[in-house]
Amino acid sequence: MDCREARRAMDDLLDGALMDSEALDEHAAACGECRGELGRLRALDAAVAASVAYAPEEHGLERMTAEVLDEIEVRRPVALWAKVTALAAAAVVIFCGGLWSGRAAWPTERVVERVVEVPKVVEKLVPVTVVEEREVVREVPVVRTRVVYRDRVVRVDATGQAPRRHAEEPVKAEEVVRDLGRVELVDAMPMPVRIGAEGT
Amino acid sequence: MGHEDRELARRCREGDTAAYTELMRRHRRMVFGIVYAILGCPEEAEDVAQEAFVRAYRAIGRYDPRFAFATWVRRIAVNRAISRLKGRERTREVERAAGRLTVTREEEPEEHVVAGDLTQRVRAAIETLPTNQRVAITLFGLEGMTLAETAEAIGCSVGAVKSHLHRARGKLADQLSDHLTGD
Repeated sequence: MDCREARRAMDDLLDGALMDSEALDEHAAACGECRGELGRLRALDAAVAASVAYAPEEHGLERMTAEVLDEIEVRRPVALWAKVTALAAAAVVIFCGGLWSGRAAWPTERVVERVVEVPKVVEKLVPVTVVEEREVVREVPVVRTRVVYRDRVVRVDATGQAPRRHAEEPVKAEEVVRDLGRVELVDAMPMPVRIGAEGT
Repeated sequence: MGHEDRELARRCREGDTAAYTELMRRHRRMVFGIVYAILGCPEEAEDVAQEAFVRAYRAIGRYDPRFAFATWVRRIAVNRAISRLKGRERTREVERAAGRLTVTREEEPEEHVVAGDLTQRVRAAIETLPTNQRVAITLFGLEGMTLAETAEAIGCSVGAVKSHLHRARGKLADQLSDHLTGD
């Protein structure tokens, strides 16, 4: 075994994985450097073991256990039926406790009846209908225009357009007025009327 | 004990807190020991052990009775302790970044290796190791822990644990060379 192999064997020895340490022991006996290294590593392992060992006190462990139980009990969801049952049981206990302790334990009360007349106030809601009359006058201008064009009466509708003559375009009222010179408003009854240029 | 633990765990799943109390009484010393080994502070170890038992209760439905209850709860305890360690490291990083810590990690061994016996020096030196190496060397250093049990508790392979142990021993030996005497 050489020093490199011995170093590897030292790790196995410290790891608890070295089945047979005879070869290592022989090398360490012959090699001062490896012997020293093996000794340091053993001392280190022992020091590590001592540094991680800790014996907690029993009351510290009990305290830890109690705190764990507090935490898991507080956060444990309680079924609704369990809560209702617990409340009902508590109510029964309280009631039974009252009965068992006897009426003498209950404070006695003297009840005095007194007739008090309370004024009666009746409010009646009567629906009231309010009628508001308004007169609405709507003035609708009615325009009747009758234009006499020469010896023919041409009725002009509200748009100012005359019906077609001879399949021509309808004549607008203002054009008829220009042609005639004047327009005489007559009622709607068609009547043949002769109108002169100056108007008579 | 294993069969009784399984029966108690079964009753716990049905909400029997008395059964869980008994399980805690059986394993609390082991859990506390593991957490203390990793963290090095008794008060913090008590907090984290409590946290581990609360978590184990909440997760009792996921406990597989084919495995020992002790193995299962030990794994939870190690995870909580590692989580606390990483939280501590993050806090130190934040404080360092904020300028509230003026020493670097490399300078810490000299700052923290105070005069005292070898155990205190070793504990201070362990504080300087990376998390994986620290957890491996402290768990394995506990009485009765084997390579396989350490690997199971950490959740890695035996080969990985051996590697962490080898590196951790090398660093500790370098830091404490003046204080270690060979046979």
